[in-house]
Amino acid sequence: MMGNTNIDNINNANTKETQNTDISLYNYDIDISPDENGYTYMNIGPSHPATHGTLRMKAKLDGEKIIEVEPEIGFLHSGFEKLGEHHTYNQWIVTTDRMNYLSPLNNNIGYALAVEELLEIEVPERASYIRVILAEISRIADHFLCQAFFGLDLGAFTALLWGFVERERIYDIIEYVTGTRLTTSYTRIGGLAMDLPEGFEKKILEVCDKLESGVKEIEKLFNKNKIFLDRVCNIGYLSKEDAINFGASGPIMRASGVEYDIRTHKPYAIYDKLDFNVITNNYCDCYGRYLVRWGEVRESIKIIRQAVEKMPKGPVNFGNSKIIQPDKKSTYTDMESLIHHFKVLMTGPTHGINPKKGEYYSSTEAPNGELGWHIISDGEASAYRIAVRSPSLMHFQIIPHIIKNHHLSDFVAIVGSMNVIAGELDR
Amino acid sequence: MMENNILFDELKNIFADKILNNFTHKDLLAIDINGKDIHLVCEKLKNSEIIYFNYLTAISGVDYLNYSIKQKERFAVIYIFYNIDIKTQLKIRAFVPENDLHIPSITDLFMGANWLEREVYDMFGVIFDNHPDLKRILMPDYYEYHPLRKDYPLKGKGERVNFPKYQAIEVDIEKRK
Amino acid sequence: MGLEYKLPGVMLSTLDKLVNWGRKNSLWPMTFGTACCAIELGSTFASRFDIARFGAEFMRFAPHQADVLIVSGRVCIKMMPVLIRIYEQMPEPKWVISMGACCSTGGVFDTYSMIQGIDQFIPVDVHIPGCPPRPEQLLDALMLLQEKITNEKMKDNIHGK
Repeated sequence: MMGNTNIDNINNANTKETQNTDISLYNYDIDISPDENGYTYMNIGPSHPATHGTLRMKAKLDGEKIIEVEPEIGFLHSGFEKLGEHHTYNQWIVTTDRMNYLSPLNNNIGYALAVEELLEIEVPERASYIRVILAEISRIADHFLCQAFFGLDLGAFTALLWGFVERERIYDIIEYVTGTRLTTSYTRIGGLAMDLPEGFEKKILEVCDKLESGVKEIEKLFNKNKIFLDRVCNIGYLSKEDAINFGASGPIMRASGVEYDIRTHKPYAIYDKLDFNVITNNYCDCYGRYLVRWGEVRESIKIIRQAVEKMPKGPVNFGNSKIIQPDKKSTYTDMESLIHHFKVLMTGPTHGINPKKGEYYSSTEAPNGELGWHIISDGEASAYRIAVRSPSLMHFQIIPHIIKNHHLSDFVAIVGSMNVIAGELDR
Repeated sequence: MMENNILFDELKNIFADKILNNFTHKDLLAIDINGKDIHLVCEKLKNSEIIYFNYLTAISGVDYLNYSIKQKERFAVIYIFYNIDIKTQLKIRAFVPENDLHIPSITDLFMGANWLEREVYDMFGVIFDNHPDLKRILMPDYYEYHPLRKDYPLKGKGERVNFPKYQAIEVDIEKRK
Repeated sequence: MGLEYKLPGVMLSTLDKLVNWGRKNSLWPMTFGTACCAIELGSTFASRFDIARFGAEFMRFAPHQADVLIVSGRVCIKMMPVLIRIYEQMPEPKWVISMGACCSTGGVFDTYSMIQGIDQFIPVDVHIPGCPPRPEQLLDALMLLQEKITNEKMKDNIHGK
């Protein structure tokens, strides 16, 4: 459909030259001459400002109207799942940071929960509260960046700068707790890397107040702006049946009227003790998804305030030191703790965490949707197979279906509202 | 949330002879079937009136070559379904023999299965019959191996140093005039 | 400007200084961001760590109008030909900054589809370590590149030789 691609060497191709054909020697090129109906082809390539990451779409156009789009992915495939078979369970946490790099704490927490459910253990309550607070603040950071880039693609540069101001506040607090801004690797199997520092509760409540006023400022720019509404309403309509059939999840599903949120369907950590709403509406277009994301930011701020109030004191790591390292003081003084410390960290058939042989699938609610992990264990220090269910892969399949008969300038709004992140898509 | 034994009785009513084995881990029920029956099973599950699993969560592949417990075949494709109204999850393992790597595709029932099946083909080499467009999705088109199989090394076989930097395409000069 | 290859070097020293001053204070970047380092690159362009005060004003993705190619993020074998093509589309004079551990040496990902260092295929001027590097490190790299440009001579200014 999109020209002919002969995968030959350059030497072989030269011998096929005939009178009417020309050999074009550039990679990833498509034949852009118009065909018999007058449709032209355009390549919206892997390096493009409007696609968030390395996505490629070959579009078939009739003037400015889009007839068909064929996406191509795989420009960031790094072999995460194969690495999971060589690293131990704790070493792979570092790789989970790099999947959805806008909110790395959600990935860490989801993976740690999945392995703990495979082992059938429960972390202490204080660790669950800390995990929930960090997951929610990371969700807020993700939504701010998504809306900021959405505004940038539609032409409003100010939204990008204001979104990044709020995100810098969140970076400061994440750095205060974990030590780095972006790739945190904060959880461990059976607890956390370290406890919270002093003065965290006061700081995070201040940050929550400032974030609330930040949301109001950006909303004032967009919500009643006629130019924005014209570009975003009735664009990219996804009906309820299609959303269920495609396997969508997260804000996209909730903007189409289906109330599917894993925090209320299969509650994990301590979400069943907290009181929050699940934001849904029936718009089914880009404007609905935009509104759902701001609603979720407000609900997350509510959750953080409740969790900070109710958080108990106590240990942060699961007590059994066959699964998680014992603390430093007893490692230096007690012989048995020293042996356990070594056995947890070493690799090999009998060292490491050693879950029982079995398979389990578990999922958490990431800002993009349902992030799931299917882990198969063979009783060794590293997993036998880790399969990741990424929400961006399901969402990117929807785009050719909803983009028919839209104009080229609506394409930007649709891709922006789907929040496709290349690290999660290609793994 | 339906209990596992009620769910299993209901499944046995619908297709008793297809289930080879079943096991539970915590609250997730898993059943084993042959690869050839997957289309029939999914159709009956989707159209059943009591347990209508109409939401496909994930499809992934497994290579059981080095696993310590001997499984029925070398390759398996794992399907995970969900029902949003009664909040129940179901896992199906479909075994595919190594000498006949064919399994029917469920793209006509679930549109979301399109790219998931392409990924299993790309990574393991399992061929899905009646798939609309089965080609590689994550690796480049000229790649010869299937990376996630257990006999393929982690660092590859030298592709990351020698790869074609240019491809030649044929362009019709007459059309450009 | 092909004249400078024919004249002896001493006649061009003041002109060198003027041209280098102009070039180093207005380096327009072409950002080739693929993964996590691209988010830190975005933070550097935002208002807290402002990169525009160093002259790198625009964040346009156009190789034909850019001086510096900032590669940030991991590069896999499917993406490398695209990077080579963008590098070849940039006109002289041009420089390349490789930001992060993944494009300098492969980083955490030593797998079948990751390029272990883009300097096997295109010449690189400044490498920045870190995973991801902080925005201050990127500003430091830009200043190092500016120092390098001050000492260049117009006569031998073909990138990579």
